[in-house]
Amino acid sequence: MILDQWSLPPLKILLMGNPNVGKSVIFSRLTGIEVISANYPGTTVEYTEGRMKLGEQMATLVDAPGVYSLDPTTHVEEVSRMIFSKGADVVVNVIDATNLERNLNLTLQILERGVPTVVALNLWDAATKKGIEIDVAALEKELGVPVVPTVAVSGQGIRDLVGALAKAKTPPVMHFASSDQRWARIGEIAAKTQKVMHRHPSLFDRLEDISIKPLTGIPIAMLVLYLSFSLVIEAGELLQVKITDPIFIAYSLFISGFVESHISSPLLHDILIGTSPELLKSFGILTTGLYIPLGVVLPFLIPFYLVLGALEDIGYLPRLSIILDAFMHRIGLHGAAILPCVLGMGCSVPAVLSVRILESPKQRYLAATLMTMAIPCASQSAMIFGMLAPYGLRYIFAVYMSLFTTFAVTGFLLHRFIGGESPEIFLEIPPYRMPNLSLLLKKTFIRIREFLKEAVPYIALGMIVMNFFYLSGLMRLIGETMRPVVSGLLGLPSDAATALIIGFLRKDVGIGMFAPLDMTPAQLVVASVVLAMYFPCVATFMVMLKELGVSGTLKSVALRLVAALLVGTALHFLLN
Amino acid sequence: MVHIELTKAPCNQTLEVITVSDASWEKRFESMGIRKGRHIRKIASQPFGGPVVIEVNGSKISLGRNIAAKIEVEVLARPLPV
Repeated sequence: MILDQWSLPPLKILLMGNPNVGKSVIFSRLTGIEVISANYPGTTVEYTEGRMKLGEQMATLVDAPGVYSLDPTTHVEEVSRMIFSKGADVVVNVIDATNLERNLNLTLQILERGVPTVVALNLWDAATKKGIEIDVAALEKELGVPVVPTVAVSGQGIRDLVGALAKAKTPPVMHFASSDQRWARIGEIAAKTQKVMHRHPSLFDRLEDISIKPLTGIPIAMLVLYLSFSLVIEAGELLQVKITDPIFIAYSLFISGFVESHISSPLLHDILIGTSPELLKSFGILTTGLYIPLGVVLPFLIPFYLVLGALEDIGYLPRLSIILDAFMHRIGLHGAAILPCVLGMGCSVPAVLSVRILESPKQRYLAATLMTMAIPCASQSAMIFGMLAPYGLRYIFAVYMSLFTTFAVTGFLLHRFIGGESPEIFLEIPPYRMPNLSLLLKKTFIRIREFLKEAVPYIALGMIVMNFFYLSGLMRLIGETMRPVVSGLLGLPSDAATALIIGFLRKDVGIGMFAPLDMTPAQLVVASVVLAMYFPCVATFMVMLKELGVSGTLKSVALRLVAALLVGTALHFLLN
Repeated sequence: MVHIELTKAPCNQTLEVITVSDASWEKRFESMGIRKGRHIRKIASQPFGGPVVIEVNGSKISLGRNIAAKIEVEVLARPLPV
């Protein structure tokens, strides 16, 4: 038998620490695995596993959601405690050097369990800037385990951390009879190892306070939201007009010429490039199938994810959740539910996963239902803009006002009619931090790549299914069957029924299918609202099943169908 | 000295945590660094029943009104060094 690294069982290394101390960035540095990180507590809601080489041995590294203590108080903390209770060969306890005392509370709890531990003293640069000096050698002596200062975002100290892993040892036996005793010990350690110099409050410190105080915080929130949306829309239009549209115009001439001269089968011709010369109306895989994801959605998605990423990394979103908490309270949620809502403007799939930061099942159900029903994802928004912009902004406004009203009214009613608890907000607000540009670009890149991987094949599939519906006559059949609802109640052409069905695959394709139907702008408003509301797309449906269970998802979907019909019918009669 | 609920305490003054009236919350507060004898600062109280924001040992925490009401504090005369 050959003895090599593979014959040893891999070491199990567990990353643990308070929320928002940079565990995921360290994980990414150690394993090379890309993970989304952000400056707010609870970015990681699930554990991630990766592999790394430690000398001659392989190690499995587990990134666990952040916890404040080993007695879990939330759903997400429960996950971490469970992972911890399964045991590990080494724990890497990541602590925030700017808040030594609170972080040491968890450290001592881990050491009490007698697990070999290495402490990563992260955010070392931020601590220095705040005038906090920590004597690393003294801290090592007090804790009895290796301590390594790190700056995860820049990679500083990571090599030393790897070196220290090999030296990880079982901590000296420690036991505290009560938590008061533990805190007393923490006070002692802090006094011996930490010096805090007085510094004048920085610009960031002042901004932190004024963005929380209501008198200044509310106008700031409105300004941030306004600037973010206008930036995304302006940049998206610029990208579209200057870059993607010229490319697509040239491309469409080329591809139609190519297909005309090389493809003789009329069926294949129609599937590939469709029948209309217009990019949005042809419904060929190579024309509309590429134009929707790359020509319509992508130009808006890039600035959207850049702006979202910047807001995340600066640390603004938790402040927005404080400002909007009172409103969310009325609908059975609390401020932290702003996060899934903001993520949902990009894509509902990660947004549904993020409802785990909410404490009660009722809140998770409410947040997932309201967000997926009334907040269109970026693909949908880009298509809605594309379709309605030529008729004027007031139609776009009508779509979003209808959806927002639905969000508020449905939430208000559901909160009163469904049972369960609605706990209040209890959330740490991270300090503002300067975003790290390369991390921001990488995060945006990961998100865009996820979109392309998901969108391009599904949109192509949508085109094929649509062509099949059209050519086989199914489209007419569905239209005739659904006419009483689609035409009678919603006032739409009966062919819009197929668009609604295809919308289950991809909402953007569904909206695109409205293009050849020659609808009035008012009809387009009704159609866009109904399409957003009536059903989640298949990708969202799958994660909802995972997060809410079968019965929760079915209840959520049934509610949406009813709400979509009610709102659509009301809009139809209001707008005419 | 008078003990008042955190919700009723003034902003921007040093407050000392005296007691937590709901024992079931003691652990959760403690893990966030809010415990007896700790000096804290109330930064803001949001309108329309919104949350209270406090600063504890350099970190900021937002607490819903009913949660904040579980914390009883005493207003200390001397202002917190900024």
